[in-house]
Amino acid sequence: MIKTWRECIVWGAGGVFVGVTLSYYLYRVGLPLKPFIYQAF
Amino acid sequence: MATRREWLVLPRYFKRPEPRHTAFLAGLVISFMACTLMGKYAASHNIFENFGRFHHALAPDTLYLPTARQVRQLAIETLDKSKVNVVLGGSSVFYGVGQPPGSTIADYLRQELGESFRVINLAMRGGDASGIAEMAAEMLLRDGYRVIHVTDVASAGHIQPIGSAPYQYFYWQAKALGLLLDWPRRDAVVKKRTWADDSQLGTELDKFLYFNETWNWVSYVAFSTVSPRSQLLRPRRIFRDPDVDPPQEFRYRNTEVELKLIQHLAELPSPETWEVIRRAAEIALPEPIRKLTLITVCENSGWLLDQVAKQARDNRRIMRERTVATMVDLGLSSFSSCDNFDRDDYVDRVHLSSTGAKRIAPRLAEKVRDIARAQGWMAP
Repeated sequence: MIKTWRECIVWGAGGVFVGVTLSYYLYRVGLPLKPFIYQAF
Repeated sequence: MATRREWLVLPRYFKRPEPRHTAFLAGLVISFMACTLMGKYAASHNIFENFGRFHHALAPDTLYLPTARQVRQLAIETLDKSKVNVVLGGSSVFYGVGQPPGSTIADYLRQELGESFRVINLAMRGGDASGIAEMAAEMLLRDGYRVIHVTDVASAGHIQPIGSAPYQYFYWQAKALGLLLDWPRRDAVVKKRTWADDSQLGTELDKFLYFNETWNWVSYVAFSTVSPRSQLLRPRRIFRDPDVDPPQEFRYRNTEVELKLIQHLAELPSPETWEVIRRAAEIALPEPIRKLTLITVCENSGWLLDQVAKQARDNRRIMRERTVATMVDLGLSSFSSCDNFDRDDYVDRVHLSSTGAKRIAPRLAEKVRDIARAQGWMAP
């Protein structure tokens, strides 16, 4: 049980990091989908 | 043949997510939403403290792009609906390169106009008459403000449809948010971009996700990952406006080059080019804003002009007068604003010194009052 909680906290923190990074990535780099859109059309 | 029940059986990894995967997803969604909510808050408040102008630390030269929502909030806080509001725009000349804070054109114009007016300087270095200030004036006009847009244009200068690079992002943001006046002629010119253009798609996303506002705010108040002058992580708000009154030895430093440039820029445009200049202004400036716009031509330093051939001087005069006439013909107020200025009124070929700013301000103020009177905002 304790192992599960620890795991959840670590993975949750990872999710927070990815969420904040995604927002920052959109701001600083731009739309990440752009290369895929150009490939698709 | 598979039974209906078998078709509904999901793959094993969809059956029961593990707690750690749920935690990861929850962390991601919550943090992203928190960023969005921060941005939403930042977009509804003015974040700029003691704003004078968009100096280097608040401008795209250091990768700081003030958003349409932020500029609108800044203008709303600075201006006053019960007064006549002057939005100063255009290029580095009206921005005030060569003029320290407190001695800029905007500062002197504010003093000249007095208490019944409010003045905000939204000019940008390398900006255009159709740039951020003009679009901010459109937003304010839509919001019911009494606005006068004051800007500059070069002799025989082309006004670009949505401002000059790197400020064109502002048009896409303001357009996506529906903050601009309807002007189909301008939209028709810029509509040719593909929908996959990042400036268009990015701003459409930002409309809902507010990531630009979030990180501009964080950069301003907390830390910036791309700070000017290699001072990594320092927030933008601590950077002071760096312009100084240049001492004499730092003025007119490239006289030889500038004289060559004046000679080069004194070539008379063909009748077709004048038509293009006229059409460009027509496209860039929506009709309702034209009667509220004062667009001036500030000629290159007279001290330098006196050193070039008479033919070049005559050509520059013709270009200046024709530019003013073209603008007036389009319904704008226009005049040549730097006539008879001295050597010390400039710091180089185009930029005015503090003394030049002090001399131009009463001339601008007089024309601003004329527009205010014509609109019935002032007693005749």
